[in-house]
Amino acid sequence: MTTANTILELEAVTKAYAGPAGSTPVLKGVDLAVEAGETVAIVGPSGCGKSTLLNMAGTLDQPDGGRVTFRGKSLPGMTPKEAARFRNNEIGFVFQLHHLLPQCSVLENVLVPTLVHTGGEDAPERARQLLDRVGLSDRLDYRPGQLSGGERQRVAVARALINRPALLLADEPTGSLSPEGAMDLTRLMIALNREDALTLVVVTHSQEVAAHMGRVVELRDGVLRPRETRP
Amino acid sequence: MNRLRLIRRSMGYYRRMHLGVFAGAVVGAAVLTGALLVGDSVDASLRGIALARLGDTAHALDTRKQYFREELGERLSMRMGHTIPSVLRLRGMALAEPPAVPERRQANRVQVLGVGKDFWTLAGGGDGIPASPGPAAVINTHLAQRLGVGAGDEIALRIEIPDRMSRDAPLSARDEDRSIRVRLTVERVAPDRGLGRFSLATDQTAPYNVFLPRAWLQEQVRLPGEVNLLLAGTAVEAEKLAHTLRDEWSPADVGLHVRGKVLESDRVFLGGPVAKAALTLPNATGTLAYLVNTISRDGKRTPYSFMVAGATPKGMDDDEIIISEWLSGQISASVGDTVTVAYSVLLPDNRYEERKRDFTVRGIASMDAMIEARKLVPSFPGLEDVENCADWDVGLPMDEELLADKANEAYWDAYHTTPKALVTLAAGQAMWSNRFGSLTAVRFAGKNDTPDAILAGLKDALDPAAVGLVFRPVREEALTAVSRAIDFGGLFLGMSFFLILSAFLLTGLLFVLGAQYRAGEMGILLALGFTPAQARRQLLAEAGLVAVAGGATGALAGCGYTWALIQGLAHYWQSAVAHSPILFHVTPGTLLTGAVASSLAALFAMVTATWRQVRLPARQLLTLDFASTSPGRERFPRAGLWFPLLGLAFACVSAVCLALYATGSIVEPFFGVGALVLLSGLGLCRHALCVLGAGSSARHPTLFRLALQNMARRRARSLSVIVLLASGCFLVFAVSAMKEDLTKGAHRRASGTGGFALFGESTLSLLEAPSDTAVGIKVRDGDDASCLNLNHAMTPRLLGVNGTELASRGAFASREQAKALWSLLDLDLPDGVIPALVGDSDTAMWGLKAKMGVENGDELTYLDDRGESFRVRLVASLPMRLSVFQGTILIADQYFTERFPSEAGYRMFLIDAPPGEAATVARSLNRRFEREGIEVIPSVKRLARFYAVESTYLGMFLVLGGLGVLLGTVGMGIVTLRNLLERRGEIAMLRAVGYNTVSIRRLLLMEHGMLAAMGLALGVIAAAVAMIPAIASASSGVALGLQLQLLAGIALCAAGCIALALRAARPGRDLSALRNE
Repeated sequence: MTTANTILELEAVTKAYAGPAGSTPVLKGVDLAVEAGETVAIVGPSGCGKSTLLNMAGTLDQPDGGRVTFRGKSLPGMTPKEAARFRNNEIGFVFQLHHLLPQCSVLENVLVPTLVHTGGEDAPERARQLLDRVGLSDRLDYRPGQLSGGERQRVAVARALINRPALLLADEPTGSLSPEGAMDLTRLMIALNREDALTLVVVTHSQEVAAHMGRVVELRDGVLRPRETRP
Repeated sequence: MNRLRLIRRSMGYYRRMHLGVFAGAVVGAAVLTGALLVGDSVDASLRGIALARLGDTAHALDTRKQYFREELGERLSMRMGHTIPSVLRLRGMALAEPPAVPERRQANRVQVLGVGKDFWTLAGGGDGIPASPGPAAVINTHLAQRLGVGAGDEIALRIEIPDRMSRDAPLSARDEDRSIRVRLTVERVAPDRGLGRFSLATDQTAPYNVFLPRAWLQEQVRLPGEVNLLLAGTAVEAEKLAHTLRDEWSPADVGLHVRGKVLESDRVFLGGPVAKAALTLPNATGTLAYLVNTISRDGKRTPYSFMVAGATPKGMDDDEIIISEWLSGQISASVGDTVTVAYSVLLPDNRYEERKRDFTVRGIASMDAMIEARKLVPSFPGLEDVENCADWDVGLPMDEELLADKANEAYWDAYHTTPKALVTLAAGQAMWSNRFGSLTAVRFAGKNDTPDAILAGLKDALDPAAVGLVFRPVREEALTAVSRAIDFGGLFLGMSFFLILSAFLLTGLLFVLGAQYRAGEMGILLALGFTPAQARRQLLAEAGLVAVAGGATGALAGCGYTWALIQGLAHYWQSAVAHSPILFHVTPGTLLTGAVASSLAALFAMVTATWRQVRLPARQLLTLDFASTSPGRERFPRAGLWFPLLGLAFACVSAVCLALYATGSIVEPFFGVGALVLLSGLGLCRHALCVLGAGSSARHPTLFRLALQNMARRRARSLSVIVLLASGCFLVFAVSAMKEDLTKGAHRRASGTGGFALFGESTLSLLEAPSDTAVGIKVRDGDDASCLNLNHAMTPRLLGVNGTELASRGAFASREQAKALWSLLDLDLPDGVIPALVGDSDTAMWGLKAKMGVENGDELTYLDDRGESFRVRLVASLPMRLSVFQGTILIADQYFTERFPSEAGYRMFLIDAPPGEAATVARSLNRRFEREGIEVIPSVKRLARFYAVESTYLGMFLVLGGLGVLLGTVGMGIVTLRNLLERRGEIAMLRAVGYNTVSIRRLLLMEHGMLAAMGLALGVIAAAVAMIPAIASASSGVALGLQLQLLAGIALCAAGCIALALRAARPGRDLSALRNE
């Protein structure tokens, strides 16, 4: 149900992929409304279209049908420039692989989003604060190659937050981490949600991660259904 | 943190990746800039040669075979305040018997220069004339090397004796010695880098020069005080020089003199412009004296009598004649009787034809009156100091029996050249006018007509240019010729094309491999809010920096490449530059051009290579595995099949049409057909890879099938390997097939030899062809427009040919076309334009870069003997690419003799010889006409001299193209290595499931070997199509052995690169990659 506080809404979203055997529908009319400050976990079997759904919310992919709106503004209608600005200002991405730039230091990686559109003079200071919050203040000049997997993912989270986004989209953020590392990262994201009112949408296979979210929805057979039972 | 810092970080972090790209860009830039710098070096060398051969000379007054008084030069020097050296320039041959060499050595076409000390001022005083006035010579290095002599050695020189009157002219002396032989001591050898190579021809080849004291030479050749060349330096202003020449020249300078009140010429006939100007003067009347064969009446006759036309009373009709008392008695003719005059007429081909004309006797003049009329008969060189008629040397056909006529002998003793009859000028000119003139004297009747007054009047009425006295801006012409010379920069750029292409393809390939490695980085930038353009710019900024660094470094390295090419030109490819020394020369502008062009080319290669990748959406960039699949849309395979099939069909139709209907050469069009087959083949390969990639996996897999599928996984990479090898093979094979065997078909009349077994050239002209089977050709020296001259020919050598004779032999065209071809020379074009044929199609295309056509052909301007300019229109060329006439322009001999009456006889010969006897005939002719400096060689040898240039170009192309192929195989090796490294996990998996190292290596070898084989096969097939006409041609020199060697070489290189890549990647040796997965 849509309210005035709804930050992200997907309505009857469809998507199909072309293959050797013809078109394969992945999303068959997905409806999802996310309130500001909410934490949502999207779960489902592999290949069901979870990441596709997340990419559409982040303007990295386009739906074949239906509506995707962010604070009431339609995302699919954006020009590439508008979409880039939207990704830069309004959302943050965290992927299963950290995708840090190996040539840059930890601090520089966090500052990469400030190179376009926004930034400001306080960006380096904010980057330090963010790295402090994720527990990496002593690793500012390290290169990604000198960090553990969990540390790299924490840097990726800090990078996602540098432009103060309202929504954090995380695609299997703990997929390549150890169980301890996965729990640390989940706690970090929940803390950020609570302290900064950051809306969090997480695609995950992990029941533990999903359990920490306020709401869990399951994508199956191309449609989203709320999951009633918790593990 | 800013974007520049990010670029800097990336450059540093990926330095090894960039280093490879940088290396590719450096190679490309070095080759590109090096090629351009070769052009600079050739240009600078040609310019240096042009300035060396001229010294300080800027203007030259060159009257060739017409001589004038050297005082003219002295007067001009005085007036201008600058030295204007006079030179007597003659042709000759030099001989030497150097002690160190067993056989004697001869040099034909030697330039014999009679110079004074002033000549050497043009060299800045560095050289010098022999101090002694006697027989000592300065020779140039080129001649010294040819003869094998040095200072202090003795040489023999045969020098032409100039004729004041052309030996072709009626009444000229033909039996006089035409050359003298002198023995000389070489006093000094003047280097060819200075005035030692003095020449007015725009040619980079050093002439054979002998410098002699002018006065001594004049004395030897019986031409005291006369010269045929004036030179003015750069300090002299052209306009002032022309003005001063008009003021200072005198008709007496060019052999015009007044005897009593009669204006005559040393050359007997008064040229058209002189006669025309003289007749505009008051009280002037023209007369024409001639020696007729007989004057007869009713069976009585007197032989060989002088007659004068023009000294007749007013009112006399043109069919009337006044005869002398002596003649009247001799043939019993009275007033009213009819007498017949028989006379010889000079035809354009120098033969004489006897004609007759009847006259009615109007009166009988006393011998006193006739002796008075003798003043109108000029002095004939062959009649001076001759006692008997039998000793006359007048160049006309003489009957021995008639010459023995006793009465005539008595008349000669008593009256010498006193005319026996007079006719009107109109009647005389109708009978005896010829290309040398239609007057032999102009008589003045005014009281004040003193010799000085007549000459002064004539000077005012006559432009000195009309008698050949005109300065040409030879320095400007030389520099223009250099500026329009063969573009060696372009030539080497073309020859290095595949090498450059390979280098930049390699650059692009290495960059795209790096970009694929960093695809996730691009994706994350997009995900973090970079616009696609910003993300692209970030990557391309790095590409730009590498390109600029590579371009700049490569441009500097290009100097080394240039140096290597110049070494090649000096030691292995001398024919390409006609054995001219090429000096290393670097122009900063070219260096900059090379750097900028190379940077742009490298950047273009990188942008093109990453074009599709940088346009992929972030989602794909973040997830795509470049090692296993091709990025971008997967197109339905069948869609790509139509274009290659259509291309192949078009190639087949074109080939059939060319074979059936083409009239000209089909070698080049077939090269295009081959290229189309290549492109279509590449399209088919692409389609095949698509089909393999999309193939059903339901069939039972085999190692071979797995290898096929692996080939299709990275379609772009696989295709790039095929493209590199196929293009390289195609170019190398197709170009190597263009080599011709000139001996095949050279006996045919339609070939470039005209079917003539021998070709001859002489230093001195022969008045007749040297044998019955020879065709003589008249020659007006000019610039060599053949491929042996690197300069642009300004006024190409002009040949006067008898088209009817050549057409009757069916020479230089098929029998059906020969008549039509040679009849073009007889066309009557408007405005006095003379039709001309270019020596062969290569001369037209490369030497002259001229358009041809009867209506709209390009025109060249020449100066004739009288200094008048005339135009020749290039109506067509001889149909073959290469002929013995390469570098020349052919006009009909009647036009030639009209314009250049001074060019007596023939200096070029086409000679038939019975099969198997060519060598004997050549030896015999060379011996018989040794004094004329004849050089008879097999016609094929002359073609081979020209073909050596093209052959060398082909050789150079093969070397540079081969290097390109080598670079292509290196690229293939890199792709292989990269594939193996990216697939370490997959290979480890194969190892884990039980494949042994041998099986894995076999799989990989099969996969990459098939790619290489596809490339080689496609290149060979396309080249074979392109080679069809060359193979079928009679003159084809396709060396299958060489082709097979090349193929084996390329295949070995490809196999070596794959082997090296396999060795470096050590596929399947460890399972760590699997653990990492």
